[in-house]
Amino acid sequence: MLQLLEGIPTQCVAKQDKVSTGRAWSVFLAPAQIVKTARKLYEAEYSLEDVFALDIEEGFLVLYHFNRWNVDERVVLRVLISKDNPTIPSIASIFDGAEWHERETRDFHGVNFEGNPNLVPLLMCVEDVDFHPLLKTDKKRKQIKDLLNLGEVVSCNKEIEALFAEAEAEVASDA
Amino acid sequence: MAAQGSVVQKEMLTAGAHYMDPPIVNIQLAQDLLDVCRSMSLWPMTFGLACCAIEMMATGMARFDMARFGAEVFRPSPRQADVMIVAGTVTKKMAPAVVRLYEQMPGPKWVISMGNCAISGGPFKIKDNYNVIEGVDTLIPVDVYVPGCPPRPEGLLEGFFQLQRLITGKRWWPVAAEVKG
Repeated sequence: MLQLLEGIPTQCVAKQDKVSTGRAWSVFLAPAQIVKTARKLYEAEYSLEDVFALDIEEGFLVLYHFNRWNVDERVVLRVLISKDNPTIPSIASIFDGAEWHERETRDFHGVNFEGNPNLVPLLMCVEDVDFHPLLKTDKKRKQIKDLLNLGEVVSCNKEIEALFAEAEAEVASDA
Repeated sequence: MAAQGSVVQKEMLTAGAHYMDPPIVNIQLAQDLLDVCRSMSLWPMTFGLACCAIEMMATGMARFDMARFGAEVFRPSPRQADVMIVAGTVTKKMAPAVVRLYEQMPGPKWVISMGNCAISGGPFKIKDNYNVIEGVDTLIPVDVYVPGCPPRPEGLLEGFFQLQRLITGKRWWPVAAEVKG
Protein backbone atom coordinates (compact mmCIF):
# COMPACT_ATOMS: atom_id res chain seq x y z
CA MET A 1 0.00 0.00 0.00
CA LEU A 2 2.73 2.43 0.95
CA GLN A 3 4.52 1.73 -2.33
CA LEU A 4 1.36 2.52 -4.20
CA LEU A 5 1.06 5.88 -2.55
CA GLU A 6 4.57 6.95 -3.45
CA GLY A 7 4.49 10.17 -5.41
CA ILE A 8 1.03 11.13 -4.20
CA PRO A 9 0.86 13.94 -1.67
CA THR A 10 -1.32 12.41 1.02
CA GLN A 11 -2.66 14.26 4.01
CA CYS A 12 -2.58 11.34 6.35
CA VAL A 13 -1.80 7.63 6.06
CA ALA A 14 -2.68 5.35 8.92
CA LYS A 15 -2.97 1.68 9.64
CA GLN A 16 -6.36 0.67 10.99
CA ASP A 17 -7.37 -1.96 13.47
CA LYS A 18 -8.98 -4.57 11.24
CA VAL A 19 -11.13 -6.09 13.95
CA SER A 20 -12.86 -2.88 14.98
CA THR A 21 -12.92 -1.02 11.65
CA GLY A 22 -12.78 -3.75 9.01
CA ARG A 23 -10.11 -1.83 7.12
CA ALA A 24 -6.37 -2.22 6.78
CA TRP A 25 -5.48 1.32 5.71
CA SER A 26 -6.97 4.74 5.96
CA VAL A 27 -5.74 7.48 3.67
CA PHE A 28 -6.75 11.13 3.86
CA LEU A 29 -6.43 12.97 0.59
CA ALA A 30 -6.94 16.40 -0.86
CA PRO A 31 -9.78 16.49 -3.43
CA ALA A 32 -7.30 17.08 -6.24
CA GLN A 33 -5.48 13.82 -5.53
CA ILE A 34 -8.42 11.43 -5.61
CA VAL A 35 -8.37 10.71 -9.33
CA LYS A 36 -4.66 9.99 -9.36
CA THR A 37 -4.92 7.69 -6.35
CA ALA A 38 -7.90 5.87 -7.81
CA ARG A 39 -5.91 5.32 -11.01
CA LYS A 40 -3.03 3.81 -9.00
CA LEU A 41 -5.39 1.54 -7.11
CA TYR A 42 -7.03 0.50 -10.35
CA GLU A 43 -3.67 -0.43 -11.80
CA ALA A 44 -2.93 -2.46 -8.66
CA GLU A 45 -6.15 -4.43 -9.28
CA TYR A 46 -8.17 -2.96 -6.49
CA SER A 47 -11.92 -2.96 -6.92
CA LEU A 48 -14.23 -0.21 -5.81
CA GLU A 49 -16.63 -1.21 -3.06
CA ASP A 50 -18.58 1.95 -2.47
CA VAL A 51 -18.58 5.72 -2.42
CA PHE A 52 -20.52 7.69 0.13
CA ALA A 53 -20.37 10.81 2.24
CA LEU A 54 -20.61 11.64 5.91
CA ASP A 55 -22.21 14.87 7.00
CA ILE A 56 -19.96 16.13 9.83
CA GLU A 57 -19.25 19.46 11.42
CA GLU A 58 -16.05 19.97 9.46
CA GLY A 59 -17.81 19.51 6.11
CA PHE A 60 -18.49 16.44 4.05
CA LEU A 61 -16.19 13.48 4.43
CA VAL A 62 -16.39 11.53 1.19
CA LEU A 63 -15.31 7.92 1.61
CA TYR A 64 -14.12 5.48 -1.02
CA HIS A 65 -13.65 1.85 -0.06
CA PHE A 66 -11.37 -0.31 -2.14
CA ASN A 67 -10.66 -3.99 -1.79
CA ARG A 68 -8.62 -6.67 -3.46
CA TRP A 69 -9.49 -10.30 -3.91
CA ASN A 70 -6.04 -11.85 -3.69
CA VAL A 71 -4.74 -9.79 -0.77
CA ASP A 72 -6.83 -9.08 2.29
CA GLU A 73 -6.22 -5.36 2.36
CA ARG A 74 -9.25 -3.13 2.50
CA VAL A 75 -8.45 0.52 1.96
CA VAL A 76 -10.49 3.60 2.63
CA LEU A 77 -9.74 6.91 0.95
CA ARG A 78 -11.13 9.86 2.84
CA VAL A 79 -11.58 13.27 1.32
CA LEU A 80 -12.74 16.14 3.44
CA ILE A 81 -14.51 18.87 1.48
CA SER A 82 -16.13 22.05 2.67
CA LYS A 83 -19.85 22.61 3.02
CA ASP A 84 -19.71 25.89 1.06
CA ASN A 85 -18.47 24.25 -2.11
CA PRO A 86 -19.01 20.50 -1.91
CA THR A 87 -17.24 19.64 -5.14
CA ILE A 88 -14.92 16.75 -5.82
CA PRO A 89 -13.55 15.25 -9.04
CA SER A 90 -15.35 12.16 -10.28
CA ILE A 91 -13.56 8.83 -10.56
CA ALA A 92 -16.17 7.44 -12.94
CA SER A 93 -13.65 7.61 -15.77
CA ILE A 94 -11.47 5.07 -13.94
CA PHE A 95 -14.01 2.87 -12.18
CA ASP A 96 -17.16 2.79 -14.33
CA GLY A 97 -19.17 1.53 -11.37
CA ALA A 98 -18.43 4.70 -9.43
CA GLU A 99 -20.87 6.59 -11.61
CA TRP A 100 -23.91 5.28 -9.81
CA HIS A 101 -22.28 5.51 -6.37
CA GLU A 102 -21.54 9.15 -7.05
CA ARG A 103 -25.04 9.81 -8.25
CA GLU A 104 -26.40 8.23 -5.07
CA THR A 105 -24.10 10.38 -2.95
CA ARG A 106 -25.27 13.46 -4.84
CA ASP A 107 -28.88 12.44 -4.17
CA PHE A 108 -28.40 12.04 -0.46
CA HIS A 109 -25.85 14.71 0.43
CA GLY A 110 -25.64 17.12 -2.47
CA VAL A 111 -21.96 16.50 -3.13
CA ASN A 112 -21.15 17.57 -6.66
CA PHE A 113 -18.91 15.13 -8.53
CA GLU A 114 -17.20 17.05 -11.28
CA GLY A 115 -16.77 15.03 -14.45
CA ASN A 116 -19.46 12.46 -13.75
CA PRO A 117 -21.02 11.91 -17.18
CA ASN A 118 -24.61 11.73 -15.98
CA LEU A 119 -25.11 13.39 -12.62
CA VAL A 120 -28.91 13.16 -12.42
CA PRO A 121 -30.87 11.70 -9.51
CA LEU A 122 -30.52 7.94 -9.26
CA LEU A 123 -32.72 6.93 -6.35
CA MET A 124 -34.64 10.12 -5.69
CA CYS A 125 -37.30 11.30 -8.11
CA VAL A 126 -36.49 14.16 -10.46
CA GLU A 127 -38.70 16.67 -8.64
CA ASP A 128 -36.49 16.28 -5.56
CA VAL A 129 -33.29 17.20 -7.35
CA ASP A 130 -32.42 19.86 -4.76
CA PHE A 131 -33.58 17.89 -1.74
CA HIS A 132 -30.93 15.87 0.07
CA PRO A 133 -32.54 13.67 2.73
CA LEU A 134 -29.42 12.54 4.58
CA LEU A 135 -28.23 16.01 5.49
CA LYS A 136 -28.22 16.20 9.26
CA THR A 137 -29.58 18.89 11.51
CA ASP A 138 -27.08 20.89 13.53
CA LYS A 139 -28.13 19.06 16.65
CA LYS A 140 -27.45 15.63 15.22
CA ARG A 141 -24.26 16.53 13.39
CA LYS A 142 -21.08 15.26 14.99
CA GLN A 143 -17.39 16.04 14.82
CA ILE A 144 -15.05 13.76 12.94
CA LYS A 145 -13.17 12.76 16.07
CA ASP A 146 -16.34 11.39 17.65
CA LEU A 147 -16.98 9.16 14.65
CA LEU A 148 -13.58 7.92 13.60
CA ASN A 149 -10.25 7.22 15.16
CA LEU A 150 -7.06 7.82 13.35
CA GLY A 151 -5.39 4.48 14.01
CA GLU A 152 -1.70 3.82 13.85
CA VAL A 153 -0.34 6.84 12.01
CA VAL A 154 2.38 6.34 9.43
CA SER A 155 2.50 9.91 8.21
CA CYS A 156 0.18 12.77 8.89
CA ASN A 157 0.07 16.48 8.30
CA LYS A 158 -0.87 19.01 10.94
CA GLU A 159 -4.37 19.77 9.66
CA ILE A 160 -5.65 16.22 9.95
CA GLU A 161 -3.85 15.74 13.24
CA ALA A 162 -5.56 18.83 14.57
CA LEU A 163 -8.97 17.39 13.71
CA PHE A 164 -8.30 14.41 15.91
CA ALA A 165 -6.14 16.18 18.48
CA GLU A 166 -8.64 16.64 21.24
CA ALA A 167 -9.91 13.10 21.06
CA GLU A 168 -6.42 11.77 21.53
CA ALA A 169 -5.81 14.11 24.41
CA GLU A 170 -8.94 12.80 26.09
CA VAL A 171 -7.83 9.24 25.63
CA ALA A 172 -4.48 10.14 27.14
CA SER A 173 -6.10 11.72 30.17
CA ASP A 174 -8.25 8.65 30.66
CA ALA A 175 -5.16 6.51 30.73
CA MET B 1 -71.45 -1.79 -11.42
CA ALA B 2 -71.60 -1.69 -7.68
CA ALA B 3 -67.83 -1.76 -7.29
CA GLN B 4 -67.22 1.24 -9.50
CA GLY B 5 -69.79 3.29 -7.65
CA SER B 6 -68.50 2.27 -4.27
CA VAL B 7 -65.22 4.07 -4.68
CA VAL B 8 -64.81 7.12 -2.52
CA GLN B 9 -63.95 10.04 -4.75
CA LYS B 10 -60.66 11.68 -3.93
CA GLU B 11 -58.34 14.00 -5.71
CA MET B 12 -56.66 11.55 -8.02
CA LEU B 13 -53.79 11.90 -10.41
CA THR B 14 -55.74 9.94 -13.00
CA ALA B 15 -57.71 11.78 -15.63
CA GLY B 16 -61.41 10.98 -15.59
CA ALA B 17 -61.11 9.51 -12.10
CA HIS B 18 -62.27 5.96 -12.66
CA TYR B 19 -65.34 6.99 -14.63
CA MET B 20 -67.08 4.72 -17.13
CA ASP B 21 -69.84 5.63 -19.55
CA PRO B 22 -73.11 3.76 -19.01
CA PRO B 23 -73.86 1.07 -21.62
CA ILE B 24 -75.91 2.16 -24.64
CA VAL B 25 -78.42 -0.63 -24.15
CA ASN B 26 -78.80 -1.17 -20.45
CA ILE B 27 -80.58 -4.38 -19.56
CA GLN B 28 -80.14 -5.13 -15.87
CA LEU B 29 -80.23 -8.91 -16.27
CA ALA B 30 -77.57 -8.86 -19.00
CA GLN B 31 -75.43 -6.54 -16.89
CA ASP B 32 -75.72 -8.83 -13.88
CA LEU B 33 -74.75 -11.79 -16.01
CA LEU B 34 -71.76 -9.92 -17.38
CA ASP B 35 -70.74 -8.92 -13.88
CA VAL B 36 -70.72 -12.57 -12.77
CA CYS B 37 -68.63 -13.46 -15.79
CA ARG B 38 -66.21 -10.65 -15.06
CA SER B 39 -65.88 -11.54 -11.40
CA MET B 40 -65.15 -15.19 -12.23
CA SER B 41 -62.43 -14.34 -14.73
CA LEU B 42 -60.45 -11.56 -13.12
CA TRP B 43 -57.18 -11.05 -14.92
CA PRO B 44 -54.61 -9.46 -12.61
CA MET B 45 -51.59 -7.65 -13.90
CA THR B 46 -48.11 -9.15 -13.43
CA PHE B 47 -46.89 -6.31 -11.32
CA GLY B 48 -45.09 -6.50 -7.99
CA LEU B 49 -43.31 -3.69 -6.18
CA ALA B 50 -41.81 -5.32 -3.10
CA CYS B 51 -41.96 -8.33 -0.82
CA CYS B 52 -45.78 -8.56 -1.03
CA ALA B 53 -45.27 -9.66 -4.63
CA ILE B 54 -43.70 -12.88 -3.34
CA GLU B 55 -46.92 -13.70 -1.52
CA MET B 56 -48.85 -12.73 -4.62
CA MET B 57 -46.80 -15.21 -6.64
CA ALA B 58 -47.41 -17.88 -4.01
CA THR B 59 -51.13 -17.18 -4.32
CA GLY B 60 -50.92 -17.83 -8.03
CA MET B 61 -48.90 -21.03 -7.68
CA ALA B 62 -50.15 -24.57 -7.16
CA ARG B 63 -50.47 -24.65 -3.38
CA PHE B 64 -52.90 -21.78 -2.99
CA ASP B 65 -53.99 -21.97 -6.60
CA MET B 66 -55.85 -18.82 -7.42
CA ALA B 67 -57.00 -20.57 -10.60
CA ARG B 68 -59.72 -22.24 -8.52
CA PHE B 69 -61.37 -18.85 -8.27
CA GLY B 70 -60.83 -17.78 -11.84
CA ALA B 71 -58.02 -15.29 -11.32
CA GLU B 72 -54.87 -17.09 -12.33
CA VAL B 73 -54.20 -15.43 -15.67
CA PHE B 74 -51.56 -12.88 -14.69
CA ARG B 75 -51.23 -10.70 -17.74
CA PRO B 76 -47.91 -9.09 -18.65
CA SER B 77 -49.62 -6.05 -20.16
CA PRO B 78 -51.99 -3.58 -18.52
CA ARG B 79 -54.07 -3.56 -21.70
CA GLN B 80 -55.08 -7.16 -21.07
CA ALA B 81 -55.64 -6.89 -17.33
CA ASP B 82 -58.63 -5.78 -15.32
CA VAL B 83 -57.28 -6.06 -11.76
CA MET B 84 -54.24 -4.27 -10.52
CA ILE B 85 -52.76 -5.74 -7.36
CA VAL B 86 -50.55 -3.06 -5.88
CA ALA B 87 -48.26 -5.46 -4.04
CA GLY B 88 -45.67 -3.47 -2.15
CA THR B 89 -44.19 -0.12 -1.34
CA VAL B 90 -45.01 2.65 -3.81
CA THR B 91 -42.13 5.10 -3.90
CA LYS B 92 -42.33 8.62 -5.19
CA LYS B 93 -40.23 7.61 -8.16
CA MET B 94 -42.52 4.67 -8.96
CA ALA B 95 -45.77 6.62 -8.54
CA PRO B 96 -46.00 8.00 -12.11
CA ALA B 97 -45.48 4.48 -13.49
CA VAL B 98 -48.21 3.06 -11.26
CA VAL B 99 -50.64 5.73 -12.40
CA ARG B 100 -49.72 5.21 -16.03
CA LEU B 101 -50.25 1.44 -15.75
CA TYR B 102 -53.60 2.04 -14.12
CA GLU B 103 -54.66 4.39 -16.86
CA GLN B 104 -53.62 1.92 -19.53
CA MET B 105 -55.95 -0.74 -18.17
CA PRO B 106 -59.27 -0.94 -20.00
CA GLY B 107 -62.42 -0.56 -17.92
CA PRO B 108 -64.10 -1.96 -15.98
CA LYS B 109 -61.06 -2.21 -13.76
CA TRP B 110 -60.38 -2.73 -10.10
CA VAL B 111 -57.49 -2.19 -7.74
CA ILE B 112 -56.47 -4.31 -4.77
CA SER B 113 -54.15 -2.56 -2.37
CA MET B 114 -52.08 -5.38 -0.93
CA GLY B 115 -50.10 -5.00 2.28
CA ASN B 116 -49.55 -2.21 4.76
CA CYS B 117 -47.15 -0.22 2.56
CA ALA B 118 -49.65 0.11 -0.27
CA ILE B 119 -52.48 0.88 2.14
CA SER B 120 -50.88 3.61 4.23
CA GLY B 121 -47.12 3.62 3.82
CA GLY B 122 -46.84 0.98 6.55
CA PRO B 123 -43.48 1.01 8.31
CA PHE B 124 -42.38 3.94 6.13
CA LYS B 125 -45.01 6.28 7.50
CA ILE B 126 -42.57 8.11 9.73
CA LYS B 127 -41.64 11.73 10.26
CA ASP B 128 -38.52 11.62 8.12
CA ASN B 129 -40.12 9.74 5.26
CA TYR B 130 -39.01 11.35 2.03
CA ASN B 131 -39.72 8.92 -0.76
CA VAL B 132 -42.63 6.62 0.01
CA ILE B 133 -46.21 7.39 -1.02
CA GLU B 134 -48.33 7.02 2.09
CA GLY B 135 -51.16 5.00 0.65
CA VAL B 136 -51.65 4.14 -3.00
CA ASP B 137 -55.24 5.39 -2.68
CA THR B 138 -53.82 8.91 -2.85
CA LEU B 139 -52.89 8.10 -6.47
CA ILE B 140 -55.50 5.73 -7.82
CA PRO B 141 -58.91 4.59 -6.53
CA VAL B 142 -58.67 1.39 -4.49
CA ASP B 143 -61.51 -1.13 -4.21
CA VAL B 144 -60.19 -3.71 -1.76
CA TYR B 145 -57.58 -3.35 0.96
CA VAL B 146 -55.74 -6.48 2.10
CA PRO B 147 -53.78 -5.66 5.26
CA GLY B 148 -50.74 -7.59 6.43
CA CYS B 149 -46.98 -7.31 6.27
CA PRO B 150 -47.10 -9.13 3.95
CA PRO B 151 -50.58 -10.69 3.91
CA ARG B 152 -50.77 -14.47 3.73
CA PRO B 153 -51.88 -15.90 0.38
CA GLU B 154 -55.18 -16.78 2.08
CA GLY B 155 -55.52 -13.08 2.82
CA LEU B 156 -55.10 -12.14 -0.81
CA LEU B 157 -57.59 -14.85 -1.83
CA GLU B 158 -60.03 -13.37 0.66
CA GLY B 159 -59.38 -10.00 -0.98
CA PHE B 160 -60.36 -11.50 -4.31
CA PHE B 161 -63.54 -12.93 -2.76
CA GLN B 162 -64.30 -9.47 -1.47
CA LEU B 163 -63.71 -8.02 -4.92
CA GLN B 164 -66.06 -10.61 -6.43
CA ARG B 165 -68.62 -9.64 -3.83
CA LEU B 166 -68.19 -5.98 -4.76
CA ILE B 167 -68.69 -6.76 -8.44
CA THR B 168 -71.63 -9.17 -8.14
CA GLY B 169 -73.06 -8.35 -4.74
CA LYS B 170 -72.60 -11.89 -3.49
CA ARG B 171 -69.91 -13.94 -1.79
CA TRP B 172 -69.40 -17.04 -3.89
CA TRP B 173 -67.19 -19.18 -1.72
CA PRO B 174 -67.69 -20.85 1.66
CA VAL B 175 -66.17 -19.15 4.69
CA ALA B 176 -63.26 -21.12 6.12
CA ALA B 177 -64.11 -22.99 9.31
CA GLU B 178 -62.56 -21.60 12.45
CA VAL B 179 -59.74 -23.77 13.74
CA LYS B 180 -59.98 -24.53 17.46
CA GLY B 181 -57.18 -25.35 19.86
